Formats: sequence, C-alpha cells, structure tokens
Amino acid sequence: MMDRLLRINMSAEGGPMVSTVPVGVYAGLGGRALTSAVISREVPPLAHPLGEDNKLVIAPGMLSGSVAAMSGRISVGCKSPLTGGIKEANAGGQPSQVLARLGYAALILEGKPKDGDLYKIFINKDGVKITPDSSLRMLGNYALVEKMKGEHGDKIACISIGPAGEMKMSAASIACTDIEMRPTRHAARGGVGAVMGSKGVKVIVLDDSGMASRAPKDPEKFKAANKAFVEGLKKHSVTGEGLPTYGTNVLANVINEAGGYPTHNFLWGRFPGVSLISGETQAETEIARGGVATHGCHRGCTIRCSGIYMDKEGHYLTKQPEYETVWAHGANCGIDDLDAIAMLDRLDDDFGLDTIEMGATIGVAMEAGLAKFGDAQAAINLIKEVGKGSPLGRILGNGAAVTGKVFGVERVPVVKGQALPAYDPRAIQGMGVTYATSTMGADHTAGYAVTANVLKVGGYVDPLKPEGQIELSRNLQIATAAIDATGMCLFIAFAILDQPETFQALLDLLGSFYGQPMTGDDVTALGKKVLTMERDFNERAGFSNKQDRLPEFFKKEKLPPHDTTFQVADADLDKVYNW
Amino acid sequence: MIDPDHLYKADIGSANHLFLSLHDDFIPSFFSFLQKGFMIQAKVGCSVRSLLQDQFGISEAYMDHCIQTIFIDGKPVDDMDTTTVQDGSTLALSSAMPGLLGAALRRGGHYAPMRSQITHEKSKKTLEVKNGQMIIKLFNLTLRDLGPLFLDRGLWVEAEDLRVFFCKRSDNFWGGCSRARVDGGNVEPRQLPHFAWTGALIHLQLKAT
Repeated sequence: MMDRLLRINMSAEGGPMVSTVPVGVYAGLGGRALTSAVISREVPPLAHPLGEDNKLVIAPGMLSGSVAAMSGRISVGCKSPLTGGIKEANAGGQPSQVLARLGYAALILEGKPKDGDLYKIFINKDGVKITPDSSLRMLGNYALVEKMKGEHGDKIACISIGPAGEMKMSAASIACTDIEMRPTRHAARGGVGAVMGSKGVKVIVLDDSGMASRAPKDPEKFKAANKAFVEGLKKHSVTGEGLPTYGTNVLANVINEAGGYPTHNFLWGRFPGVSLISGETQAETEIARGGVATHGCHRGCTIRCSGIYMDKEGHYLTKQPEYETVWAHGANCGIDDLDAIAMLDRLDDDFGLDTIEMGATIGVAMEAGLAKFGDAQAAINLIKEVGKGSPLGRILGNGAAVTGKVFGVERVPVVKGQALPAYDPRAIQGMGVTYATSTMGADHTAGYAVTANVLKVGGYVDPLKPEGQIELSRNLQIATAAIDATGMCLFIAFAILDQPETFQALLDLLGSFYGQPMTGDDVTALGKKVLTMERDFNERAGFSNKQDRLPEFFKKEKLPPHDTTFQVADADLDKVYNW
Repeated sequence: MIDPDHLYKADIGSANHLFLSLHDDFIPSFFSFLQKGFMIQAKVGCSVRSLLQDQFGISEAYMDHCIQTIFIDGKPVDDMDTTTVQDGSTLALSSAMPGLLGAALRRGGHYAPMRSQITHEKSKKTLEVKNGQMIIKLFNLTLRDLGPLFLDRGLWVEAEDLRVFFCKRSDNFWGGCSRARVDGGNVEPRQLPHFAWTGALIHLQLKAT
C-alpha cells in the first residue's frame, strides 16, 4: 500500500528528523494532485521559496509502483523560486516506481538545516538513514550517481541535484535516474532543484529490494485493462510508430513548417537549419553511431520515445535530447549542430539545469551580445560558467528573466518568470492562452493532455465560436492536471484521444486498482480540484490576472513567415478559470 | 532549408540527370533531401487528394490514415478535397504528430482552432489544371513510406547539396552503388563527389537493387 507520508524535518535539533505518518487528508491523491494539495495546505504563500517554511514534496503517481504500463512519472512540488508561485514539475525514470513500492505516497522535505551540511538520504524497506556527506559537495549528477552505485550497488534509483541546485539557482532541476542508472530524467522546471538544495539534500537513494509491486484491488480486471491499454498504445500511429521511431524531436520539422518554431530568441518562426537537427536526422545519427533511437525512460514504458546519443567516436554522450531541448539549445540559439546540442544537454543534466530555461536564457544572452547566434562553442562555454558558479554563471543560472534584466534585454520570453517552451504563441494562439494562464508559468505540458474532448471536460467546444481558444485551453489544463495525478506519461493522450476503448482501458486500470469504478466525470473533477488549489495558492502569494499575460512583444512584433501577432484579448484570458 | 525561389528560378532545362543504382539499404541516406524539400513537375490546379492519388499513386487508405498533417506554403490544411495546389506551391506531408501541437496541426482535428490564424484558406476561384512545378517535403513516417516512391520516380535537388552529400559518404555507401549514369553516360559512382555538374539542379533518380 502507498498509504504513508515520509516527512523529514531538516531543521530539527540534532539533525534531520524522520517521521512516517498516515496519508490522512491526502488519501486517494497522487502525483501533482498530492504535491499541490500539500503545498497549498501547508506552505505559507508568502514564504521565501528557499526558506525553512517552503516544502519539497516528491510524490509518485496514483498507479506508480504497480505493473500498469506508462505509470512511472514522479511529481515534485514546492513554492517556486523562479515564478514565486506554486510549482509541480514531473519526470520519468525509475524513482517513482521504487518510491511507490516502498509504500510512500510522498516524501516531504521540510525546514532547513542550521549547520549548512549536505545530506544523503537512503531509503529502503528497513527505513530511512540520513547522513551528512561533504564529499558530495559540487559533484555533477553523473559523478554523484556513480558514487552512489559504488556505495549501494546498481539496484537503486537516485533523486539528486547537481551544482546548480546546491547554488540554489532558479533554473536548477532535480535529476532522476533512468533504467541504466544515469541521471537523465529531470523534474526540471521552476527551480525545484534550488529548493532541494536549500533543504541541504544532495541525493535521495531509493532501494526497493524485497518489496513487491503494488497490488490492485481487482487483479483480474486490472490485468485485462493493462493488456487492453498496452494494445491501444501499440496500435496507434503516434504511440506505436512515430514516437518510438523518431522520439519527441519528430515535431521539429512539422512545427518549423507551421512557422511556429521559435528561432533566434523568438525573432522568427522558422529555422533554416532545422533538417540538420530534426528528429529524423537525430534518429539516423544515433543508429549510425551505435546508439539507440527507441528506448524507454523507465521500466514499464511501452512507447519508448527516448534514445541514446553517442558522440562521433561512438561513446555515450547523453540520452536522446528531447524536442524541447533540441529547440532551446538549437533553433532558439541559431545552432544547427546536433553534437553541440547533445553536449549542452549532457552539461545541463550534469549540472542539474532545466534545458528549456537554459536555452531560452542563452538566447536572451545572445540577444544581449554575450555571444553570437549560431556560435555553439560560445553556448557551451556559457553553460560551463553556470556549472562553475562564476558571477556570469550565477546570473545565467537564474534564468531568462534575470538575465534579461541584468543585460537590459526587452525581448524576454517568459510568463511568471518562467521561459516559454518551443512553440511560438503567435503561430499557435491556443498554446499562448495556456502559456499565459497556467498556474505554473509558461509551460507547454500544462495543457498537453489532448483528451479534453474525450473526457467531455467542460462539455463540447464549438471550434467555430470565437471564445473557442479559451475553452480549449481551459479544458486541456483540467485534463492535464488530472493525468499528472495518475503518474501516467502524457503521451498516452493520443491513443486515448483517438481510441475510445483505450480511454476505457485507462479508466478500468484506475478503477480496478483502487476498487471503485472511475468515470470521465471523476477525472474532470480531480483536474478542476488540482487547478483550483494551485490558483488559490498563487492568489494568496500575490498573483493576479496581471501575471496571466504574455510578454508585450508577442502582441507587437509580427512573426515571420505568417506575420501574425498574439491576438487573444486580455479579457478573454481572464475567463480561463471561470467554471 | 531549400529556398523555393532559388529552386524555381533555376533552369530545369539545364539540369543534369543522375541515375544511380544502389543497394536498398542506402536509400534512406537520401531522406535528408526529402525532409529539406525537393522539386517535382506535376499537374497543378487540382485538389491535394487528386495530386497524391491520381498523380503520385498514393492509396486512399494511406492518405486517410497515415497522412494526418498537411501544409501548403506552411499553412495547415484541413480538407484534402477542397484545397488546391498551385504552381509554385510547397506541399509538406506528415503522419500524426505527438503533443498538443501535433493534435492542433492535424487536418480537421478537434484542436485545429488553436492555430486558426495560420490555417490554409481555400481558394475562392477555380484554378486551371496545367503543368507546373512544386516543392514537396516529407516528414517522419512519410519519409520511410513515400520516400522510395519519389526517389524512384525522380526529383530535382540542388547540385551543390548533392555534391556535399556525396562528399560525406563512406566507403560502405559507395560499395553499395552498382551503377551511375549522368545525362545518359556511364560514370563510376565513386567519381560522383568530384563530378563537374553543369546545371544548378540535378534530376535525381534512384534504382534500388
């Protein structure tokens, strides 16, 4: 059972104090629903994000730890040092399954160590052991995980921060190890790594030896539902062919063709070098060098949209960089060299940085004249400055908004302080609505679950109505919040969208696991509940509709090649949360 | 990225014709040209469906199930039957794409309103069906599925791009090439990286062996 919360008070006299308590009021919640419930209920909204009153909540999804396919996402929640609002960032990798099998619905780090020590937390079936370990200080994630393997063997999963987290940079991520025990899967957005750093925790080592998978209440029905679910994913062209063959970067050519591929710090919508960095080219390169173009990020993944990227000599460099990463460090910075982009991805993973935030930051830095667009080596050097923690690196490591302010750049692509991802909202206006109004700051995944119409969230939306963009964004955000609670990968959404039997299989998975039937209405209610909690927290933290806006230049500057501006009215943006 | 203006201005009449026989395994190495864009001659002024089905021989089932995303001149197309291709158009074909944006760009999809600002608008006038030139781009699974068809049929690419491509090929690649003919004359395949092309364009035709 996943019926306990593991609370660790890092402020306690005499060192960190562990308490294991029943889930209580949080019963039945998982993933984002649980992290946002804890933050909303327990963290003072005006608390300093790096202070003792903030909490870091790490929660597996509702189905994590079971044998349900695709259920390995883990959510990390806190008050964000980047946005100043509530934050949930999630990641793949192994830790979600392992933490869930250990029986914890969430691990909550509270307080702040008074001694400045850096700690390692080890959790297995016998309990929790917390030890200060100064030898870990400023280790990159790769070296850190190797050290943990040496100490605990290779059957563990790690949740860790790199130097960026220790330096409490607002772009710092939290790394999760993948199937090969590499720190390649990151809860990246919003500076969650800085909050872990403020708690003085370098690494959480999880060992589920001796623990069984979580058992469903109705094993037979669960088994049948899982089988139908997997079959549905495999037979769909996106989850069964497109994503496994080319990975998420398969989007590059298509978004570029649509004129929505932000280039040179959102100056243009097309990148001349896109075919050199596309998913198609990336997959061909990986295979030619002995890497892998079809690979899962956690056990139980059947889509396998990741891969392994080798350098020119055929040595491992990094996991297959995602679409967002290739865009952020590629087109956005004018770089058309896949090897350089892969190196930037490796450095981000090692230092523990959000690739989207760092790509956007370097784009702003290039606009400021710190480097020329297209200069790959200069971009690598800038990321290395962040890893070193030089004065320049400290600025860059705190994200695009800070960098823009320091260097006097007007065109800074952020909402609520968080950098926009790889879709220009002037070409795809509906995405702009989600960027502007998400509780998380600019976040492409906040409205990503294209299941809203299947779920009938908010009723049927007439695409011809002028307010359609608002309703679509609202419904997508509700559906996404619900899926984020399950621990399911958002990529399941396509098979659910097109195949009613696969959607039913997902509902049956949840229903048979918890022993009570689940309907689309239940999912919708959960999504609304999550968003309401998050919105409420942000309002108490001082947010108003003034923060639900895109930067001014998206309304003023036309985006080639379609020469469009963002045209959704502010009054309409204010309607997104009307339900 | 291919520059359509540059390509259209080049004189097709002065293009060299390259016919290359090579092992099946090496056909995908030419896919980089297909995602960048290549030029073809076709009857234009017809619907997208007619172009794909009647002229390119693509089956109706493949069009309906596999070509989920279509662009004309960078604008997403919702209806293959009522959208016409014109002389000088750039037509891009893709299978269904992941993510919200993938859903938004799908033809006729539920989320199409999210990109209404850039959606391709139907032509209000009836176009004359005539011979013309257009750029085709193939993305993702359509590369694998339709790429060999177009390469077998023949297409125009820029000579400089092909020269750079040949210069980067390995011994393994050249070992898989059995025959090359340029403008009707036999050429040793390994000499292709150094061949003095006379035109700005090359009509490339591959024969898989």
